[in-house]
Amino acid sequence: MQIRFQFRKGEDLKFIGHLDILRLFERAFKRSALPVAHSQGFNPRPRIVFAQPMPLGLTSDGEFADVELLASMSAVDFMTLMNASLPPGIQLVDAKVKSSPSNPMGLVSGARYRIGFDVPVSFDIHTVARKVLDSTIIHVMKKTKSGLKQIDIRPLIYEVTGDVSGTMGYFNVLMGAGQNDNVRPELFLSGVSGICCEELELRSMHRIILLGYNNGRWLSLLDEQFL
Amino acid sequence: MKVALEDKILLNVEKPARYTGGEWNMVVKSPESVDVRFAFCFPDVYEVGMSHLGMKILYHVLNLRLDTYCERVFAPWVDMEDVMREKGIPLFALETKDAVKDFDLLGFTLQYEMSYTNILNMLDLAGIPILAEERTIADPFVIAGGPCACNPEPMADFIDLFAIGEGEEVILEIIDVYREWKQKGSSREDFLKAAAMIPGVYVPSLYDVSYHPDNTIASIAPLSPDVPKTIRKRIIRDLDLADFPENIIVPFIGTVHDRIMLEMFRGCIRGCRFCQAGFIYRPVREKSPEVLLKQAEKSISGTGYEEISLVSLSTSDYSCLSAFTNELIALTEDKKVNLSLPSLRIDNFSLDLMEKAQKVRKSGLTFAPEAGTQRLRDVINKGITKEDILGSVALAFEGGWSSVKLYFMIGLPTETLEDIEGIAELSAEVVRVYKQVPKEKRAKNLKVNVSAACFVPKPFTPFQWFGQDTLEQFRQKQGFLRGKIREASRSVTFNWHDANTSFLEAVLARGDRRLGPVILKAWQKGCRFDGWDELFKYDSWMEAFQEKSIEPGFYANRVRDFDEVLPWDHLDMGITKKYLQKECIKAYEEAVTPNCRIKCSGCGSTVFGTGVCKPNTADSEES
Repeated sequence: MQIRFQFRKGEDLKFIGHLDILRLFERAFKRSALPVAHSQGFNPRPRIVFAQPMPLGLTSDGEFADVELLASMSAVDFMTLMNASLPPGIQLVDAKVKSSPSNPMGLVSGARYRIGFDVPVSFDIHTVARKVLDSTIIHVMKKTKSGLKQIDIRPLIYEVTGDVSGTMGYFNVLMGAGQNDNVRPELFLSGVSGICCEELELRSMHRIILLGYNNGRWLSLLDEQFL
Repeated sequence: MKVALEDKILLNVEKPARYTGGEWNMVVKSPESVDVRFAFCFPDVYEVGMSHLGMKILYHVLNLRLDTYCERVFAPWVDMEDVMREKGIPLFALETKDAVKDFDLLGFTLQYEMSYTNILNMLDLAGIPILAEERTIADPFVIAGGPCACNPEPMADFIDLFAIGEGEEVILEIIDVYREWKQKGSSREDFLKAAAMIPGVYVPSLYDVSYHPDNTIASIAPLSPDVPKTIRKRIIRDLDLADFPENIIVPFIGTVHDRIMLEMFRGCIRGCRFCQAGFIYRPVREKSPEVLLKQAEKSISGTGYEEISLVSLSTSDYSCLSAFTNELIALTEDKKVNLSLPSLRIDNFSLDLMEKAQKVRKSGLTFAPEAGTQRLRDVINKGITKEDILGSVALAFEGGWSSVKLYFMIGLPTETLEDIEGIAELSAEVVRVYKQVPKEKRAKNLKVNVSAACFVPKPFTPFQWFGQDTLEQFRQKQGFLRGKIREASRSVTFNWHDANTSFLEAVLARGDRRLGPVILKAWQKGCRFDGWDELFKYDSWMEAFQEKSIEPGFYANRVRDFDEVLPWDHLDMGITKKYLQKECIKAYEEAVTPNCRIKCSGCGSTVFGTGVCKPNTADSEES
């Protein structure tokens, strides 16, 4: 059977890269003694698929992964056992038994972020947020395998609001994520910097949740339609 | 004081997880609930320090105490150090992120001479006076232990007290004395004097060293009659009864040895004359298979590690290896854990064992003949013959291995060019052995990797009196060997290392207290991470020697007389000087000494009355 779970990655783990997170789960599975299915071959690895890699520095409340178990058990028991085997900085928040073979990687179309930055003097975050949505093109330079490439991220920005707390400003953004249309928080901030002609310095990036898109609606990957 | 590490800082340094802690099995305590805060300081980066079994053991035994909280501290890598200095961030512990200066005790482990400047650097980053004599009642005490503490003298200016020998009992006794002292609230000297009464504790400030006009040592004597004249190392009598960490910290990022380490025994029966570990950890004391299996099982379930490694100085010498490994393999197969078997002598048994244990593809095998001729192998008491080596290699090739590493040393006592040429000849014979294996039986792509390290004479070995080869000699020999290997075979690649590091290592290994100012000067000139080639500043070190009017060759290259007072003569590692002299003479006579199980050679370790030296098994050849 397959289980999909949602997990959070807190402050303690934000500097742990994706491959290290993968190994962390492999070891947590071993500690939990859960009947996790393994790949064949010289070096058997547990069968786990993450919806999206996590960049260094990101905290998140809404990551997803699928895991295959060799015995059936309730999602609640699975969660309890896993959480007892994970370090405090990373915990499961929800889990459901899957009934379709959907791949979580293919489901991700967007993500909600809360992106923190140092607020410059006389910076009106609401005006800037408005400007972003009013733009027709937002050009940024994206690092690709073949070097720097100019791309337009405007079509992938779906919602933007902003708020300020002390010296920190935050953009709450819904934008493209996943295999094809991914916008990283730094790229968003670099695009905004271009719009307001002021270099905004990234201070924190938090993913609120990864989302799938179905029938005109943004949905959690644990929504029944995706399971 | 808690240290604030902003994201901005951590996002701009290499491997930020070195500084953030929070790993599985990290011990969490409330600092307010303990009497003693202990900072275990490893003078190298996180990935190196987290690979060290001794640290795991001491972290475990210290944190078993309810009155103590032991946290971990590592040397920040140079990028992080720059930021810390720029922003005034003091050295901090990973568990609480509290500044190390606020701790009661700092414990450094001396694993390697080339980490000494890192200790100075860490003290400086912590805001603790580097010189022990400048510390006040507001500063922590700085303790050091580990293998290099068997000659603590070069670090005497910086360390308040050394723990000699195995640490897990003596460290607890130090804490007891510290607690008592803290309640009374008297002077630093009072604590140090009280600590000096604990067996195995050496307080360098309580001893005076005087010198002859020729710069050799005249005497090392306690400043007051109540301080012990000699300090005998501590050992754990029964390893089965000793606390061993089963719930070790599992790092998030890869470390050098990222696996469970199962310590099978301490000490070594072999007595290879160049090997310090073979002498200072005597006598051999084994853990029983039952205890090991229990510890293996608990470690696997407690950590989730995918690999477990046996740890000892010579795996093949474990008494019940066959029965034990059969059970261990059954366990690791059941738990889907890889078993790695280092330090095995290669024979039919061990190849079969590796076949069973490691399902992964056949990687390289390592052999350590150490010297190129039988004559020189007899000098160093490396009890293997050419036939042993070639026989093992043949078995390995027949078993499907095609990549072998051969470890040698150059600059060994009595070495001639013939011995060095012997390295090339032996390597060529290994190639011949490969070619004799039928093509259908052997794996393709033969790789023979020869590496030759520059020999560093160490205290408490029969070669402690020996003058190390000069840099010129080393370079000549390296060049000669390179040529000979090129002539001998095209399938052999030769690796060597610049001799500068080995020269400095030899100076520090057998140095005395007068090196303190040199180490300080070198650090002031920016030396740290001296063990890292890319950061080693040999020229700055040489300037430091010059400015402090110390001739490094006096320590590295000079031959000592048997009656010379050595800087470590006041420490008793259980090995008598008389025995080491006897072994030294035998070395020059090319006479071998049998291992401890065949015959006791009377090294002196019977004073501990345990392990292989238990009174009923010891058969001393001298009284």
